[in-house]
Amino acid sequence: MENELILDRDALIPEIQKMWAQKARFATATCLDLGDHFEVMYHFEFEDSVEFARHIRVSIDKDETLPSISNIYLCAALIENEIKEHFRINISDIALDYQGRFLRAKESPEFPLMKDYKVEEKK
Amino acid sequence: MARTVIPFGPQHPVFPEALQLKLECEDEKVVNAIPAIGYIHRGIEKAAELNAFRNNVFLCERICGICSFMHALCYCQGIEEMMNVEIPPRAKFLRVFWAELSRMHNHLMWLGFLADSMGFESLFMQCWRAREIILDVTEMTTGQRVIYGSCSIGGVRRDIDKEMAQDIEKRLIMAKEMVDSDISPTVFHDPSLKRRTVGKGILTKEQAISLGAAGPVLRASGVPLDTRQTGYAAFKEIGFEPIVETAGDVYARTLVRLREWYQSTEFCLKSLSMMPEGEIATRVVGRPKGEVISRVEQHRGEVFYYIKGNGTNNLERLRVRTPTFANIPPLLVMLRGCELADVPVITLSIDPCIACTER
Repeated sequence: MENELILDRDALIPEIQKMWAQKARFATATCLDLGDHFEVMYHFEFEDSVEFARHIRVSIDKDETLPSISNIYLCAALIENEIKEHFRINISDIALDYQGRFLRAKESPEFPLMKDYKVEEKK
Repeated sequence: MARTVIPFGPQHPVFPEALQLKLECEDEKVVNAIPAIGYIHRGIEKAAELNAFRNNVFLCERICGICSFMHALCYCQGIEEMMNVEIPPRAKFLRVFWAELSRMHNHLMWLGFLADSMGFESLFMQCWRAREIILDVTEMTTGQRVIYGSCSIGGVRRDIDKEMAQDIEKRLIMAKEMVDSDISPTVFHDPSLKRRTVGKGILTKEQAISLGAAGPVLRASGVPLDTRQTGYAAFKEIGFEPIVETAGDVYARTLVRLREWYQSTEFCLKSLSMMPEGEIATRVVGRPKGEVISRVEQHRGEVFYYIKGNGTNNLERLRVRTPTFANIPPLLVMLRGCELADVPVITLSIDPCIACTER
Protein backbone atom coordinates (compact mmCIF):
# COMPACT_ATOMS: atom_id res chain seq x y z
CA MET A 1 0.00 0.00 0.00
CA GLU A 2 1.01 3.61 -0.51
CA ASN A 3 2.46 5.61 2.39
CA GLU A 4 3.28 2.47 4.28
CA LEU A 5 5.92 2.25 6.95
CA ILE A 6 7.08 -1.18 8.10
CA LEU A 7 8.45 -1.19 11.61
CA ASP A 8 9.79 -3.48 14.29
CA ARG A 9 7.75 -3.82 17.44
CA ASP A 10 10.27 -1.79 19.45
CA ALA A 11 10.07 1.13 17.02
CA LEU A 12 6.26 1.33 17.22
CA ILE A 13 5.74 3.60 20.23
CA PRO A 14 8.36 6.21 19.19
CA GLU A 15 6.75 6.37 15.72
CA ILE A 16 3.26 6.74 17.21
CA GLN A 17 4.57 9.56 19.41
CA LYS A 18 5.83 11.26 16.24
CA MET A 19 2.37 10.93 14.67
CA TRP A 20 0.82 12.45 17.79
CA ALA A 21 3.30 15.34 17.68
CA GLN A 22 2.34 15.94 14.03
CA LYS A 23 -1.36 16.02 15.05
CA ALA A 24 -2.24 13.00 12.93
CA ARG A 25 -5.75 11.64 13.40
CA PHE A 26 -5.90 7.94 14.29
CA ALA A 27 -8.38 6.24 11.96
CA THR A 28 -8.20 2.61 13.07
CA ALA A 29 -6.02 -0.49 13.30
CA THR A 30 -6.26 -3.78 11.42
CA CYS A 31 -4.90 -7.13 12.55
CA LEU A 32 -4.07 -10.03 10.25
CA ASP A 33 -3.28 -13.60 11.20
CA LEU A 34 -0.62 -14.68 8.72
CA GLY A 35 -0.14 -18.21 10.02
CA ASP A 36 3.18 -18.02 11.83
CA HIS A 37 2.89 -14.38 12.87
CA PHE A 38 0.52 -11.43 13.23
CA GLU A 39 0.57 -8.20 11.35
CA VAL A 40 -1.01 -5.12 12.88
CA MET A 41 -1.56 -2.00 10.81
CA TYR A 42 -2.27 1.44 12.26
CA HIS A 43 -3.96 3.89 9.92
CA PHE A 44 -3.58 7.66 10.33
CA GLU A 45 -4.68 10.75 8.45
CA PHE A 46 -4.02 14.46 8.68
CA GLU A 47 -6.46 17.35 8.97
CA ASP A 48 -5.39 18.99 5.72
CA SER A 49 -5.68 15.83 3.65
CA VAL A 50 -8.43 13.26 3.20
CA GLU A 51 -5.89 10.87 1.73
CA PHE A 52 -4.46 8.54 4.32
CA ALA A 53 -1.22 9.97 5.49
CA ARG A 54 0.40 6.91 6.89
CA HIS A 55 -0.08 3.19 7.49
CA ILE A 56 2.26 1.76 10.08
CA ARG A 57 2.68 -1.99 9.76
CA VAL A 58 4.18 -4.05 12.56
CA SER A 59 4.85 -7.80 12.46
CA ILE A 60 5.05 -9.76 15.68
CA ASP A 61 5.51 -13.42 16.50
CA LYS A 62 2.51 -15.14 17.97
CA ASP A 63 4.06 -15.42 21.42
CA GLU A 64 5.22 -11.81 21.54
CA THR A 65 3.47 -8.93 23.30
CA LEU A 66 2.47 -5.81 21.42
CA PRO A 67 2.62 -2.52 23.33
CA SER A 68 -0.65 -0.59 23.41
CA ILE A 69 -0.73 2.79 21.71
CA SER A 70 -3.78 3.83 23.76
CA ASN A 71 -1.64 5.70 26.26
CA ILE A 72 -0.83 8.07 23.38
CA TYR A 73 -4.05 7.81 21.35
CA LEU A 74 -6.78 7.03 23.90
CA CYS A 75 -9.24 6.28 21.09
CA ALA A 76 -7.11 3.26 20.09
CA ALA A 77 -8.20 1.47 23.28
CA LEU A 78 -11.46 0.22 21.75
CA ILE A 79 -9.92 -1.30 18.64
CA GLU A 80 -7.09 -2.80 20.70
CA ASN A 81 -9.67 -4.53 22.89
CA GLU A 82 -11.43 -5.82 19.79
CA ILE A 83 -8.18 -7.13 18.28
CA LYS A 84 -7.27 -8.82 21.54
CA GLU A 85 -10.64 -10.59 21.65
CA HIS A 86 -10.66 -11.73 18.05
CA PHE A 87 -7.04 -12.82 17.76
CA ARG A 88 -4.94 -14.67 20.29
CA ILE A 89 -2.67 -11.65 20.62
CA ASN A 90 -1.35 -10.09 23.76
CA ILE A 91 -1.53 -6.29 23.88
CA SER A 92 -0.08 -4.79 27.03
CA ASP A 93 -1.22 -1.77 29.06
CA ILE A 94 -4.43 -0.87 27.22
CA ALA A 95 -5.74 2.37 28.75
CA LEU A 96 -9.28 0.97 29.05
CA ASP A 97 -9.04 -2.83 29.26
CA TYR A 98 -12.32 -4.73 28.99
CA GLN A 99 -10.59 -8.01 29.96
CA GLY A 100 -11.91 -9.86 26.94
CA ARG A 101 -15.52 -8.66 27.29
CA PHE A 102 -15.68 -5.74 24.87
CA LEU A 103 -17.62 -7.37 22.04
CA ARG A 104 -17.65 -10.97 23.20
CA ALA A 105 -19.98 -12.52 25.75
CA LYS A 106 -19.09 -15.46 27.97
CA GLU A 107 -20.67 -17.90 25.53
CA SER A 108 -19.08 -16.36 22.40
CA PRO A 109 -16.55 -18.36 20.40
CA GLU A 110 -12.94 -17.68 21.34
CA PHE A 111 -10.62 -15.89 18.91
CA PRO A 112 -12.89 -16.37 15.87
CA LEU A 113 -10.68 -14.45 13.45
CA MET A 114 -7.67 -16.73 13.94
CA LYS A 115 -6.93 -18.82 10.88
CA ASP A 116 -6.98 -22.02 12.95
CA TYR A 117 -10.50 -21.30 14.21
CA LYS A 118 -12.84 -24.08 13.13
CA VAL A 119 -16.32 -23.05 12.07
CA GLU A 120 -18.97 -25.56 13.06
CA GLU A 121 -20.97 -26.85 10.10
CA LYS A 122 -24.72 -26.31 10.30
CA LYS A 123 -26.61 -29.60 10.61
CA MET B 1 -18.91 14.23 47.11
CA ALA B 2 -20.10 10.62 46.90
CA ARG B 3 -20.25 9.17 43.41
CA THR B 4 -23.05 7.03 42.04
CA VAL B 5 -22.77 4.80 39.00
CA ILE B 6 -25.92 4.89 36.89
CA PRO B 7 -26.29 2.27 34.16
CA PHE B 8 -27.78 4.18 31.22
CA GLY B 9 -29.14 1.59 28.80
CA PRO B 10 -28.74 -0.88 27.14
CA GLN B 11 -32.54 -0.62 26.86
CA HIS B 12 -33.47 3.03 27.16
CA PRO B 13 -36.41 4.90 25.59
CA VAL B 14 -34.14 7.29 23.67
CA PHE B 15 -31.75 4.68 22.30
CA PRO B 16 -32.81 3.04 19.05
CA GLU B 17 -30.29 0.26 19.74
CA ALA B 18 -28.61 -1.54 22.61
CA LEU B 19 -25.90 0.66 24.05
CA GLN B 20 -24.95 0.97 27.69
CA LEU B 21 -23.17 3.89 29.28
CA LYS B 22 -22.00 3.47 32.84
CA LEU B 23 -22.33 7.01 34.12
CA GLU B 24 -20.34 7.99 37.16
CA CYS B 25 -22.23 10.89 38.71
CA GLU B 26 -21.75 13.41 41.47
CA ASP B 27 -25.27 14.45 42.29
CA GLU B 28 -26.74 15.36 38.84
CA LYS B 29 -23.38 15.91 37.17
CA VAL B 30 -21.70 13.25 35.04
CA VAL B 31 -18.01 13.00 35.90
CA ASN B 32 -17.11 9.92 33.87
CA ALA B 33 -18.71 7.57 31.36
CA ILE B 34 -17.67 4.08 30.32
CA PRO B 35 -19.32 2.52 27.25
CA ALA B 36 -20.39 -1.11 27.26
CA ILE B 37 -21.31 -2.72 23.98
CA GLY B 38 -21.36 -6.29 22.69
CA TYR B 39 -25.10 -6.96 22.75
CA ILE B 40 -25.46 -7.37 19.00
CA HIS B 41 -22.07 -8.54 17.78
CA ARG B 42 -22.68 -10.91 14.85
CA GLY B 43 -19.22 -11.84 13.63
CA ILE B 44 -19.73 -10.39 10.15
CA GLU B 45 -15.99 -10.05 9.47
CA LYS B 46 -15.62 -13.81 10.00
CA ALA B 47 -18.67 -14.54 7.86
CA ALA B 48 -17.11 -12.46 5.07
CA GLU B 49 -14.10 -14.80 5.01
CA LEU B 50 -16.40 -17.82 4.62
CA ASN B 51 -18.61 -16.35 1.87
CA ALA B 52 -17.77 -16.11 -1.81
CA PHE B 53 -16.48 -12.56 -2.38
CA ARG B 54 -19.40 -11.68 -4.69
CA ASN B 55 -21.94 -12.68 -2.03
CA ASN B 56 -20.30 -10.36 0.49
CA VAL B 57 -22.09 -7.43 -1.15
CA PHE B 58 -25.32 -8.74 0.38
CA LEU B 59 -23.63 -9.46 3.69
CA CYS B 60 -22.11 -5.98 3.90
CA GLU B 61 -25.47 -4.40 3.12
CA ARG B 62 -26.84 -6.14 6.16
CA ILE B 63 -24.24 -4.74 8.54
CA CYS B 64 -26.72 -1.92 9.07
CA GLY B 65 -30.23 -1.34 7.79
CA ILE B 66 -29.89 2.42 7.81
CA CYS B 67 -26.62 2.76 5.90
CA SER B 68 -27.00 -0.45 3.88
CA PHE B 69 -26.21 1.14 0.52
CA MET B 70 -23.06 2.82 1.87
CA HIS B 71 -21.64 -0.49 3.07
CA ALA B 72 -22.31 -2.15 -0.28
CA LEU B 73 -20.77 0.83 -2.08
CA CYS B 74 -17.63 0.80 0.06
CA TYR B 75 -17.16 -2.93 -0.40
CA CYS B 76 -17.79 -2.87 -4.17
CA GLN B 77 -15.40 0.08 -4.65
CA GLY B 78 -12.69 -1.80 -2.78
CA ILE B 79 -13.08 -5.00 -4.80
CA GLU B 80 -13.21 -3.01 -8.07
CA GLU B 81 -10.00 -1.20 -7.15
CA MET B 82 -8.29 -4.47 -6.31
CA MET B 83 -9.40 -6.06 -9.59
CA ASN B 84 -8.71 -2.94 -11.69
CA VAL B 85 -12.32 -2.66 -12.80
CA GLU B 86 -13.54 0.65 -14.21
CA ILE B 87 -17.30 0.95 -13.84
CA PRO B 88 -19.44 2.76 -16.45
CA PRO B 89 -19.89 6.54 -15.88
CA ARG B 90 -23.67 6.15 -15.60
CA ALA B 91 -23.23 3.69 -12.73
CA LYS B 92 -21.06 6.21 -10.88
CA PHE B 93 -23.84 8.81 -10.99
CA LEU B 94 -26.45 6.28 -9.96
CA ARG B 95 -24.26 5.36 -7.00
CA VAL B 96 -24.08 9.01 -5.95
CA PHE B 97 -27.85 9.27 -6.29
CA TRP B 98 -28.59 6.34 -3.97
CA ALA B 99 -25.78 7.23 -1.54
CA GLU B 100 -27.10 10.77 -1.13
CA LEU B 101 -30.70 9.59 -0.99
CA SER B 102 -29.63 7.36 1.85
CA ARG B 103 -28.01 10.34 3.61
CA MET B 104 -31.22 12.36 3.18
CA HIS B 105 -33.45 9.81 4.87
CA ASN B 106 -30.86 9.17 7.57
CA HIS B 107 -30.39 12.80 8.53
CA LEU B 108 -34.15 13.29 8.82
CA MET B 109 -34.47 10.12 10.86
CA TRP B 110 -31.67 11.32 13.14
CA LEU B 111 -33.19 14.76 13.59
CA GLY B 112 -36.46 13.03 14.50
CA PHE B 113 -34.67 10.94 17.13
CA LEU B 114 -32.94 14.02 18.54
CA ALA B 115 -36.26 15.87 18.75
CA ASP B 116 -37.81 12.82 20.44
CA SER B 117 -34.97 12.68 22.99
CA MET B 118 -35.84 16.19 24.15
CA GLY B 119 -39.60 15.56 24.08
CA PHE B 120 -40.20 17.63 20.94
CA GLU B 121 -42.72 15.22 19.45
CA SER B 122 -44.13 17.49 16.75
CA LEU B 123 -40.66 18.05 15.24
CA PHE B 124 -40.05 14.31 15.42
CA MET B 125 -43.23 13.69 13.43
CA GLN B 126 -42.48 16.39 10.86
CA CYS B 127 -39.02 14.93 10.24
CA TRP B 128 -40.37 11.45 9.73
CA ARG B 129 -43.17 12.76 7.52
CA ALA B 130 -40.61 14.35 5.18
CA ARG B 131 -38.45 11.23 5.40
CA GLU B 132 -41.36 9.16 4.12
CA ILE B 133 -41.10 10.94 0.74
CA ILE B 134 -37.45 9.93 0.50
CA LEU B 135 -38.30 6.34 1.38
CA ASP B 136 -40.97 6.36 -1.35
CA VAL B 137 -38.30 7.43 -3.86
CA THR B 138 -36.05 4.64 -2.58
CA GLU B 139 -38.82 2.11 -3.02
CA MET B 140 -39.64 3.47 -6.46
CA THR B 141 -36.04 3.19 -7.66
CA THR B 142 -34.81 0.04 -5.92
CA GLY B 143 -38.00 -1.83 -5.06
CA GLN B 144 -37.16 -1.69 -1.36
CA ARG B 145 -37.15 0.80 1.48
CA VAL B 146 -34.29 -0.40 3.68
CA ILE B 147 -31.88 -2.80 2.00
CA TYR B 148 -31.43 -1.28 -1.46
CA GLY B 149 -29.76 -4.25 -3.17
CA SER B 150 -28.85 -1.98 -6.05
CA CYS B 151 -25.05 -1.90 -5.83
CA SER B 152 -23.00 -4.70 -7.32
CA ILE B 153 -19.37 -5.36 -8.13
CA GLY B 154 -18.89 -3.68 -11.52
CA GLY B 155 -21.70 -1.13 -11.28
CA VAL B 156 -25.34 -1.09 -10.23
CA ARG B 157 -28.27 -3.43 -10.76
CA ARG B 158 -31.03 -0.96 -11.60
CA ASP B 159 -31.39 2.01 -13.88
CA ILE B 160 -33.54 5.14 -13.66
CA ASP B 161 -35.31 6.20 -16.84
CA LYS B 162 -36.27 9.76 -17.82
CA GLU B 163 -39.90 9.56 -16.71
CA MET B 164 -38.89 8.20 -13.34
CA ALA B 165 -36.21 10.89 -13.01
CA GLN B 166 -38.85 13.60 -13.56
CA ASP B 167 -41.10 12.05 -10.95
CA ILE B 168 -38.18 11.84 -8.50
CA GLU B 169 -37.34 15.48 -9.10
CA LYS B 170 -40.90 16.50 -8.20
CA ARG B 171 -40.85 14.42 -5.04
CA LEU B 172 -37.47 15.73 -3.90
CA ILE B 173 -38.63 19.31 -4.41
CA MET B 174 -41.76 18.48 -2.39
CA ALA B 175 -39.56 17.10 0.43
CA LYS B 176 -37.36 20.21 0.27
CA GLU B 177 -40.41 22.47 0.57
CA MET B 178 -41.58 20.48 3.55
CA VAL B 179 -38.19 20.80 5.26
CA ASP B 180 -38.07 24.51 4.36
CA SER B 181 -41.46 25.23 5.88
CA ASP B 182 -41.77 22.78 8.80
CA ILE B 183 -38.30 21.79 9.95
CA SER B 184 -35.63 24.38 9.17
CA PRO B 185 -37.39 27.32 10.89
CA THR B 186 -37.72 25.24 14.05
CA VAL B 187 -34.06 24.21 14.01
CA PHE B 188 -32.84 27.73 13.29
CA HIS B 189 -35.14 29.72 15.58
CA ASP B 190 -36.92 27.59 18.20
CA PRO B 191 -35.74 28.72 21.67
CA SER B 192 -36.56 25.44 23.44
CA LEU B 193 -34.53 23.42 20.91
CA LYS B 194 -31.63 25.83 21.25
CA ARG B 195 -31.81 25.71 25.05
CA ARG B 196 -31.32 21.94 24.93
CA THR B 197 -28.52 21.93 22.34
CA VAL B 198 -26.45 25.15 22.35
CA GLY B 199 -23.34 24.78 24.50
CA LYS B 200 -24.08 21.10 25.27
CA GLY B 201 -21.59 18.31 24.72
CA ILE B 202 -18.78 20.50 23.44
CA LEU B 203 -15.94 18.83 21.55
CA THR B 204 -13.09 21.14 20.62
CA LYS B 205 -11.23 20.89 17.33
CA GLU B 206 -8.12 19.54 19.08
CA GLN B 207 -10.17 16.92 20.93
CA ALA B 208 -11.96 15.90 17.73
CA ILE B 209 -8.63 15.23 16.02
CA SER B 210 -6.86 13.58 18.92
CA LEU B 211 -9.85 11.32 19.69
CA GLY B 212 -10.32 10.30 16.05
CA ALA B 213 -13.85 11.70 15.57
CA ALA B 214 -15.56 11.17 12.21
CA GLY B 215 -18.28 12.69 10.06
CA PRO B 216 -20.59 15.49 11.26
CA VAL B 217 -19.07 15.20 14.77
CA LEU B 218 -15.66 16.07 13.31
CA ARG B 219 -16.95 18.76 10.95
CA ALA B 220 -19.07 20.43 13.66
CA SER B 221 -15.81 20.96 15.56
CA GLY B 222 -14.28 22.86 12.66
CA VAL B 223 -12.35 20.11 10.86
CA PRO B 224 -13.13 20.14 7.11
CA LEU B 225 -12.68 16.41 6.50
CA ASP B 226 -15.20 14.51 4.40
CA THR B 227 -14.33 11.40 2.38
CA ARG B 228 -16.39 12.72 -0.53
CA GLN B 229 -13.50 15.12 -1.12
CA THR B 230 -11.55 12.16 -2.53
CA GLY B 231 -14.00 12.22 -5.46
CA TYR B 232 -15.21 8.63 -5.25
CA ALA B 233 -18.13 7.53 -7.48
CA ALA B 234 -19.04 10.69 -9.45
CA PHE B 235 -18.11 13.32 -6.84
CA LYS B 236 -15.16 14.42 -8.95
CA GLU B 237 -17.56 15.43 -11.76
CA ILE B 238 -20.27 16.78 -9.46
CA GLY B 239 -17.89 18.71 -7.20
CA PHE B 240 -17.90 18.73 -3.43
CA GLU B 241 -17.18 21.10 -0.53
CA PRO B 242 -17.56 19.89 3.07
CA ILE B 243 -19.98 21.62 5.42
CA VAL B 244 -18.27 22.84 8.55
CA GLU B 245 -19.37 24.46 11.82
CA THR B 246 -17.02 25.53 14.57
CA ALA B 247 -18.94 25.59 17.87
CA GLY B 248 -18.45 21.84 18.47
CA ASP B 249 -21.70 21.47 20.46
CA VAL B 250 -24.92 19.50 19.85
CA TYR B 251 -26.43 22.45 17.99
CA ALA B 252 -23.44 22.68 15.62
CA ARG B 253 -23.80 18.97 14.84
CA THR B 254 -27.50 19.54 14.15
CA LEU B 255 -26.71 22.42 11.78
CA VAL B 256 -24.09 20.39 9.92
CA ARG B 257 -26.60 17.61 9.32
CA LEU B 258 -29.41 19.92 8.28
CA ARG B 259 -27.15 21.77 5.82
CA GLU B 260 -25.88 18.44 4.54
CA TRP B 261 -29.47 17.41 3.93
CA TYR B 262 -29.92 20.34 1.55
CA GLN B 263 -26.56 19.59 -0.05
CA SER B 264 -27.58 15.95 -0.61
CA THR B 265 -30.81 17.08 -2.27
CA GLU B 266 -28.70 19.08 -4.73
CA PHE B 267 -26.42 16.09 -5.32
CA CYS B 268 -29.38 13.82 -6.04
CA LEU B 269 -30.83 16.31 -8.52
CA LYS B 270 -27.43 16.94 -10.11
CA SER B 271 -26.66 13.24 -10.45
CA LEU B 272 -29.98 12.73 -12.28
CA SER B 273 -29.40 15.65 -14.63
CA MET B 274 -25.67 15.03 -15.27
CA MET B 275 -25.97 11.26 -15.70
CA PRO B 276 -24.69 10.19 -19.14
CA GLU B 277 -26.45 7.55 -21.23
CA GLY B 278 -24.91 4.10 -21.35
CA GLU B 279 -24.36 0.84 -19.55
CA ILE B 280 -24.92 0.52 -15.82
CA ALA B 281 -22.52 -2.35 -15.11
CA THR B 282 -19.32 -3.94 -16.34
CA ARG B 283 -18.84 -7.69 -16.36
CA VAL B 284 -16.24 -8.62 -13.77
CA VAL B 285 -14.21 -11.77 -14.23
CA GLY B 286 -11.48 -13.20 -12.06
CA ARG B 287 -10.83 -13.22 -8.37
CA PRO B 288 -9.46 -10.50 -6.12
CA LYS B 289 -5.82 -10.59 -5.10
CA GLY B 290 -3.93 -7.99 -3.10
CA GLU B 291 -4.95 -5.55 -0.41
CA VAL B 292 -6.85 -2.33 -0.55
CA ILE B 293 -8.43 0.29 1.67
CA SER B 294 -11.81 1.61 0.61
CA ARG B 295 -13.60 4.52 2.25
CA VAL B 296 -16.89 6.30 1.72
CA GLU B 297 -18.67 8.99 3.71
CA GLN B 298 -21.74 7.55 5.38
CA HIS B 299 -24.15 10.01 6.94
CA ARG B 300 -22.53 9.29 10.33
CA GLY B 301 -19.00 9.70 8.99
CA GLU B 302 -16.28 7.83 7.23
CA VAL B 303 -16.68 4.07 6.88
CA PHE B 304 -13.41 2.24 6.40
CA TYR B 305 -12.95 -1.15 4.73
CA TYR B 306 -9.66 -3.03 4.60
CA ILE B 307 -9.95 -5.87 2.10
CA LYS B 308 -7.35 -8.54 1.44
CA GLY B 309 -7.83 -11.04 -1.36
CA ASN B 310 -5.72 -14.11 -2.03
CA GLY B 311 -6.77 -14.96 -5.58
CA THR B 312 -9.44 -17.45 -4.46
CA ASN B 313 -13.20 -17.11 -4.26
CA ASN B 314 -12.95 -16.20 -0.56
CA LEU B 315 -11.34 -13.17 0.98
CA GLU B 316 -8.36 -13.47 3.29
CA ARG B 317 -9.65 -10.66 5.48
CA LEU B 318 -12.37 -8.04 5.56
CA ARG B 319 -12.08 -5.38 8.22
CA VAL B 320 -14.81 -2.81 8.74
CA ARG B 321 -14.48 0.31 10.89
CA THR B 322 -17.71 2.24 11.11
CA PRO B 323 -18.11 5.90 12.11
CA THR B 324 -19.86 5.24 15.41
CA PHE B 325 -16.87 3.16 16.50
CA ALA B 326 -14.73 6.24 15.89
CA ASN B 327 -17.19 8.55 17.65
CA ILE B 328 -17.50 6.64 20.93
CA PRO B 329 -14.25 8.03 22.47
CA PRO B 330 -15.27 11.64 21.61
CA LEU B 331 -18.70 10.94 23.17
CA LEU B 332 -17.06 10.10 26.49
CA VAL B 333 -15.34 13.48 26.49
CA MET B 334 -18.58 15.27 25.54
CA LEU B 335 -20.39 13.65 28.46
CA ARG B 336 -17.83 14.62 31.09
CA GLY B 337 -19.22 17.45 33.19
CA CYS B 338 -22.71 17.46 31.63
CA GLU B 339 -26.01 17.29 33.50
CA LEU B 340 -27.62 13.85 33.71
CA ALA B 341 -30.69 15.21 31.87
CA ASP B 342 -28.50 16.13 28.87
CA VAL B 343 -27.04 12.65 28.42
CA PRO B 344 -29.72 11.47 25.91
CA VAL B 345 -29.35 14.57 23.72
CA ILE B 346 -25.54 14.50 23.77
CA THR B 347 -25.41 10.76 23.10
CA LEU B 348 -27.81 11.04 20.18
CA SER B 349 -25.78 13.91 18.75
CA ILE B 350 -23.17 11.40 17.52
CA ASP B 351 -26.00 9.46 15.82
CA PRO B 352 -24.95 6.15 17.37
CA CYS B 353 -25.41 3.04 15.26
CA ILE B 354 -24.55 0.01 17.31
CA ALA B 355 -25.39 -2.58 14.64
CA CYS B 356 -22.69 -0.98 12.49
CA THR B 357 -20.25 -0.64 15.36
CA GLU B 358 -20.42 -4.24 16.48
CA ARG B 359 -20.85 -5.86 13.10
